[in-house]
Amino acid sequence: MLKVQRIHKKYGKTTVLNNLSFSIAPGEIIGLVGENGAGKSTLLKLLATIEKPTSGKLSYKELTYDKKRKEVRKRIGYVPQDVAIWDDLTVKENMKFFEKLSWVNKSEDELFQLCKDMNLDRWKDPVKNLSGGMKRKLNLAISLIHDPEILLLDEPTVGIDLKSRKEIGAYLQTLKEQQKMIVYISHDMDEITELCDRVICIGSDPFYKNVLEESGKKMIICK
Amino acid sequence: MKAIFVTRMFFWKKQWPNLLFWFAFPFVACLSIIHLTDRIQEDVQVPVGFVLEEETLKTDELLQKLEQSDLITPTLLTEEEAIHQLQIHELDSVFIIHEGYEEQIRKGNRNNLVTGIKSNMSFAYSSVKEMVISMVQEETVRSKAAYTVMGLNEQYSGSDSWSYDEIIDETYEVQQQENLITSNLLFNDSVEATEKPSFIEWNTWGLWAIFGLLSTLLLMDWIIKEKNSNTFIRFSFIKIPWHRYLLYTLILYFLAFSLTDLLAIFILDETFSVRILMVLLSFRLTALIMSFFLALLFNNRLVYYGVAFAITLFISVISGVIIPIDGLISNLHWLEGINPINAIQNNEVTISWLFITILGLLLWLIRKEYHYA
Ligand SMILES: Nc1ncnc2c1ncn2[C@@H]1O[C@H](COP(=O)(O)OP(=O)(O)OP(=O)(O)O)[C@@H](O)[C@H]1O
Ligand SMILES: [Mg+2]
Repeated sequence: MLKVQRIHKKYGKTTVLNNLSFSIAPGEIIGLVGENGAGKSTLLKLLATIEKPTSGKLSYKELTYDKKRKEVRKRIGYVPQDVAIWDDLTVKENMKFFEKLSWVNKSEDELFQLCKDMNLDRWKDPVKNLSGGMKRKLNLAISLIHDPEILLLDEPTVGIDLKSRKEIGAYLQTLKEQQKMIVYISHDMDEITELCDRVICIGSDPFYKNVLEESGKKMIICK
Repeated sequence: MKAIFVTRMFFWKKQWPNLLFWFAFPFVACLSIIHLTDRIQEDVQVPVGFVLEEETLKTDELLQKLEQSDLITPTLLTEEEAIHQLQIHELDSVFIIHEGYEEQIRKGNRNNLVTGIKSNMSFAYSSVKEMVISMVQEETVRSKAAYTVMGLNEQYSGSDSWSYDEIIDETYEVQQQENLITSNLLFNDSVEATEKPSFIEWNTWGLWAIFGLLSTLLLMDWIIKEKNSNTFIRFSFIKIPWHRYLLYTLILYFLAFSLTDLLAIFILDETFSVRILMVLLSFRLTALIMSFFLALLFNNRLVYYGVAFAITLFISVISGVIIPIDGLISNLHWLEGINPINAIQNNEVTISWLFITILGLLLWLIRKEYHYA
């Protein structure tokens, strides 16, 4: 169980997140929606331990974020909104780079398979020669190398073609069946309603709330 | 560490032309500068003024010898004219042969025979001085030897019991004794005699340090590249946090650079000693850690390159390795103290700067570890 209790987040004087509480169970996919600048990425960074809340508590199972940060991190797979890969290296080298420095050992075949799961087959190509969508696929694949229990995805499918998107969605479903927790940011409401069990809606704009109400999805919070 | 090596090889495999160039650059630069100046030196003769306060057999002899030298073109002048030409840098330096030169030589007296004058742009002064000293010394020793032989002959009442070899042995001995007297006695100047056998004698390790510093700075641009790539965010979720990744990679670069230092000893010095290896490695580590911190400060690689060149230029100027400005900096002793290449220039192990940089690195590491934990 991932628990978020009454968190606030301020940057200087501007409050980005105000009194948020929710929890996520294993095997659950949570959608995160809201307008640009609503604080989705900020919330995901808090969940990923790379930002600290101004006040409030986060914990995963018995591990609290402020005391056992390193332990929590080992279990997290984080896909940043901006692609975070080595441009000079090939797909294979990128995968191997992060496998070598990660908590787990994986064979080259396993890494290759992971890329194939993302529908990425340009194994030996330098990343700078890949298209935007392919880079996103690699960005996603790298975050999955160490079999994380918690998956935090910040707009992972932007610019990815529909077919690959469906396949990635199917792959996330299999992860869900393996009792992983997934938090998923997207602006694509179809994707959200199709994939997610519950949706967190943040920001002051009622638009997303209305769309979600129409679809009958279970909502958690609206600021 | 093995993992770091494997991952670093991914990058090095891509960057090898760049790496090779900057690893080879200090070798190429040092060797070509040394060979080029050797060639130039063979052709160039430096104009040196001589003022004779007396004209005798001995001064003629001295002048003839000076004319035979391929290093200088001696010009005879009056003192006034010589000083004037020195001031407008027509002459590199001026030497005044004093009145009573012959007499003093005959007496074997070596005080105040010659006065040397140099300007702030004299670059051959100390070499010419050495040359004049050795010529005058030869004269005094020879006359002293002659007296000694004469004295011995008297002592043994002019018998022919002295062979040629014995006399030569005796002159050698005298020569050795005479050499113990420092050349300062001979000269009326305040500048201490330096041991420079030719005009431009490059400080090999000084050159190596300058070019090595430049290549170290420029090769450390990987920090800026990797820092800017956005990928560093992933290091929060892997075994090796970002700061340790930087540190281990720094160690790998140190190992790679150490190999070039080792090679440099064989190529530039030809005699290996553990001492000189320590001299080079201590400097290398200092330069690497300095570059490391510098690169961490910058986000723009071009600005960093500019600063790297500026720093190298500044250090080469204050150390006088490339531009000989003895006159300018000899008054600024504190510059020597802060000059990081001062130690290696004097063939010494870099201690204070190394201590400071390692301390800095440790503090940096402790702070990062504290934040990470
Ligand atoms: N490091 C920071 N310092 C100051 N303000 C920040 C910082 N990071 C984010 N913000 C501000 O916090 C707010 C929320 O940003 P965030 O990136 O979480 O939005 P978002 O919901 O992810 O938007 P988008 O849909 O565009 O990705 C924005 O107003 C942003 O300007
Ligand atoms: Mg965002």
